Amino acid sequence: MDVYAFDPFVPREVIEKDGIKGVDSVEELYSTCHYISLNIPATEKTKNSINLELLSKMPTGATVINTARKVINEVELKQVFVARPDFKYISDIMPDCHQDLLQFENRYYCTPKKQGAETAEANINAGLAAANQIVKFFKNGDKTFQVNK
Amino acid sequence: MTKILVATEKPFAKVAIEGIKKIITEAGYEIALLENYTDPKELLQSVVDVDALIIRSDKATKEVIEAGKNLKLIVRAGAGYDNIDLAAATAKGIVAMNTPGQNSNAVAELTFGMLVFMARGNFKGGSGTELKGKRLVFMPMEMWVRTLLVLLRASTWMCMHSIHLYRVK
Repeated sequence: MDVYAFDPFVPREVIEKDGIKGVDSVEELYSTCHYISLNIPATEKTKNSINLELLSKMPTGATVINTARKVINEVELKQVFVARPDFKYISDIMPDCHQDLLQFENRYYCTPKKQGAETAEANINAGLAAANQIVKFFKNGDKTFQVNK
Repeated sequence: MTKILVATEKPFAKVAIEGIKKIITEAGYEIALLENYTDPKELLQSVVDVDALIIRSDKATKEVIEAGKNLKLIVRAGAGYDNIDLAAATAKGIVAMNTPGQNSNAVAELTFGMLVFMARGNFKGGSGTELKGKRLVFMPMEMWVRTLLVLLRASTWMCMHSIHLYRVK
């Protein structure tokens, strides 16, 4: 299996150091890959950004794995299912159109609850990291992981 | 004394709470727990006198942020932080953080499982397709670089070595 990635903030050579093939645009990714894993944070730019136009570019046998909240355009997702009998979608975020998508039973699956970080290890890691970050903040003024700069 | 509130509608694992308590108390701070709460008003009441707040998927709304008179820091234990009203936090000079990278391996492993599940026709017994020769992409875009690389390494290794899963430690 060949693995590709695109990130506007990570140079292609850095991505390729990890044995992953870099591409130059989002459009190139979609037209190249059979499987796409969405791991994007929800921001003003990314919300509803995975749409009919992008998903229509994927090669035959397209499968989208979505573990990111709010980035898929759910209205257009349903349109993709109708337009492409080869399209498959699996997610741990139940879309508002879940009931409508159940008709595509072998091409659609959604976990009953958000599942991505639900491991004992992730739970412990995140909790301890939060506590350590608080101590570093109050002791040293460390704001390394600040998200509202 | 600096006071830290851990507010979780869905609590941390017991071992995580013990670890959090140890880190906070050894630093000389006080810790308060609000677990399994069902009414957001409980969070409004509990946040009044704390200096920092740890949450999971709990909502740090504008009301919560304004109720925290001493609040200086909110940490979302996890990657996504759309449950924090960042504008309200910024307006009050409160720092908001997430804990990037801590759940990347969990997500990477789930992604791999989902990949196989769909390729094999939802495990319903029909003829599926193999992953060999297919092209997979991760689409992180603005994701934290560290999280991206952890995720890529974990999932890529598993995908590349999918016939040798016994080697996964």
